[in-house]
Amino acid sequence: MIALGRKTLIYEWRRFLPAVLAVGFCGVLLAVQAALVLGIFGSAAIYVTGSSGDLWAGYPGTQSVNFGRPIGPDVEMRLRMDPDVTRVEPYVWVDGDWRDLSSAHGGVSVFVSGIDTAPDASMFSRFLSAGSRELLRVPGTVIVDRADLEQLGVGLDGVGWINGARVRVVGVVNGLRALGGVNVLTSLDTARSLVSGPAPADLATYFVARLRDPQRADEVRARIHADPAFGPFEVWTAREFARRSQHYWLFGTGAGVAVMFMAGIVCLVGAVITSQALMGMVLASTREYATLNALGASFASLSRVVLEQSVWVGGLGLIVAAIASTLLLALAANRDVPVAMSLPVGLICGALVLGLALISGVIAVRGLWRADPAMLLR
Amino acid sequence: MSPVHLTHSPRTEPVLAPFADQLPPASLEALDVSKSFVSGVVQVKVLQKLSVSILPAELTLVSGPSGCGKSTLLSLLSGLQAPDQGRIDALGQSLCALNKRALERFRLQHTGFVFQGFNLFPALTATEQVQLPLGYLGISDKQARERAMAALDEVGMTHRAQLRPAQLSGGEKQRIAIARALAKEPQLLFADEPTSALDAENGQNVIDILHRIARRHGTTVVCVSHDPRLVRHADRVLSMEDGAIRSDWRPGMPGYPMSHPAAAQGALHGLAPMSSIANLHTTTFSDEGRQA
Repeated sequence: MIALGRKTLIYEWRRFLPAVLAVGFCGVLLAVQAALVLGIFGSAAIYVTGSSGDLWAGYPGTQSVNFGRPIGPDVEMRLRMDPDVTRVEPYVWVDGDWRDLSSAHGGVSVFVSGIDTAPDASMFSRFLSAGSRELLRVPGTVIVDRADLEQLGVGLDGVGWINGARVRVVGVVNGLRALGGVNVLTSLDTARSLVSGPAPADLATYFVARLRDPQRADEVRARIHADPAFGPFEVWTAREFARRSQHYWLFGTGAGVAVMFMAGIVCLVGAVITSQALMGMVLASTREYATLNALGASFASLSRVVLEQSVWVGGLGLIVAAIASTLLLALAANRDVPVAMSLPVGLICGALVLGLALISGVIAVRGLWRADPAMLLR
Repeated sequence: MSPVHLTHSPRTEPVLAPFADQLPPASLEALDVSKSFVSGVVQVKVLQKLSVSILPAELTLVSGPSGCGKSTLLSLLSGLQAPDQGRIDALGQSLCALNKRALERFRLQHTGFVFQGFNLFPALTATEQVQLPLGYLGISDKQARERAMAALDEVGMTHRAQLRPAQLSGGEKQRIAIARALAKEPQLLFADEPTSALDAENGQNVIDILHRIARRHGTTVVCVSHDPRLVRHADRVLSMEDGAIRSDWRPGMPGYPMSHPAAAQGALHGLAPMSSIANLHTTTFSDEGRQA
């Protein structure tokens, strides 16, 4: 069987190029949008995903890490009572207001994370080396993301004020940017000292536990029931809590609906452009298709030619999108833009692009209705 | 322009039933067919109660001025359109009884078409153009290629087999289009103004090829044209005017409108010489033809 669709695509590639580019452009938009969503909303859970704790205990019903409320110190005891728990460390969250020396930047919202400075501590283990943690043992020292220095109006070893208390930047890390503010890492003691108003010496927003066998996190979490004797608390596995935080930002704030809407618009515009380009190709060959129909090739057979072309256009567009998206996302990551991509999300984007091309092909098949062989006799 | 090798073909002339005492049965018949089209708010009657029988193994030329209904007649005979009234019988089958899918299947198995425009796919080589319809018949690639090469050989285009339409002249394109129709080995071959886009030499070649196909393969070839140069190449000429067949004659037999041996022997009794049947109503003629 002569591969009419493929041969036409190769021979008349210039005429198919707009369709391929339209599909590719849609793919890039979808991928970049998804990467930004993953990157930005992924940062809502960076406190969980950047740490090696297996269980998180926090105030009951907390929807996102940044909404933590203080919990009683007895909760730590409850966690330690479980035989599978090998380590428990407190985590203090403080909302702060940053002022730099010149006050040129006004106030900057900061999220202070008070963490254990022990070398084998769980919190932010992905970002901090034992040496970095040691730097935080000095009271009033903080570590921030390198990309946030400019926003804070401070350099490495520079000084600023959080809630009126003087702090010094002793180190920087990469990839710790936050949603709607600046993450500041410091020791538990320094964090507690930054709380506006009186704060208990053993203040903790969360307790993070490490397990002997992380695979059994669900089992252990189910075992640690809420017990009024230890005050109000709830336990989540790290995976649950990360997802809970991301879902809140994605769906609880309406941002997810906006993203879905944008993705829908991208697909719609892509389908319109692609189908028009394919339709143009079909209409340009109306007489040839009509001749084939006169010779007995069925409408279904001719439709398959158009659909085959749309699949080729989709496949080529996908390659264009994959290359362009990879380059763009690499550039974005290099410029500290919060982007992230996962295999499932990449596959979903690819499937959307191919689906878009196929739908465009189905729309373009309508062009074959004009391929009436009787018109060749007029 | 390469000539058509009429005398060097390796094929032998087919053995057709010699015209002895009677005509072979008609392969294509229109019975009291009418067809009209709506143009704006006006309904135009193109054909009205027209009947005609067409015989196999000969080239029947339907001629007449523009708008006389000859292309409409071709579209009805070939099953591309259905008549408003009447019936079309092709190869013993009533086309009016077939649905769209069945008509497509009938056309696939039995008919070939050559149009005024060559309608070749720009991306395909001459061989691929000819091979393409064979794929829809379910013929294997190898066999399709062999049949395509044989068809190209028959129209004298073997040496251009690997060229695309952009590299071919008008005459060559039309010969490829004929080969495409021929490769299916159809029993019915319809040609609509196949020479109107060609110069005299190429037009001559094309009509010769169509004539030869009819004789060699026993194919029923119906050619619609207003080109008077083709008349002398046809076995039979149907002249149309105002939606009716005004004359039916055979150019090879001067003095007799029908040069068919059977006609010469009076099988088509009742037919007068051309001059006298010019105004003969076609219905009458066709009925007699069927009786013969």
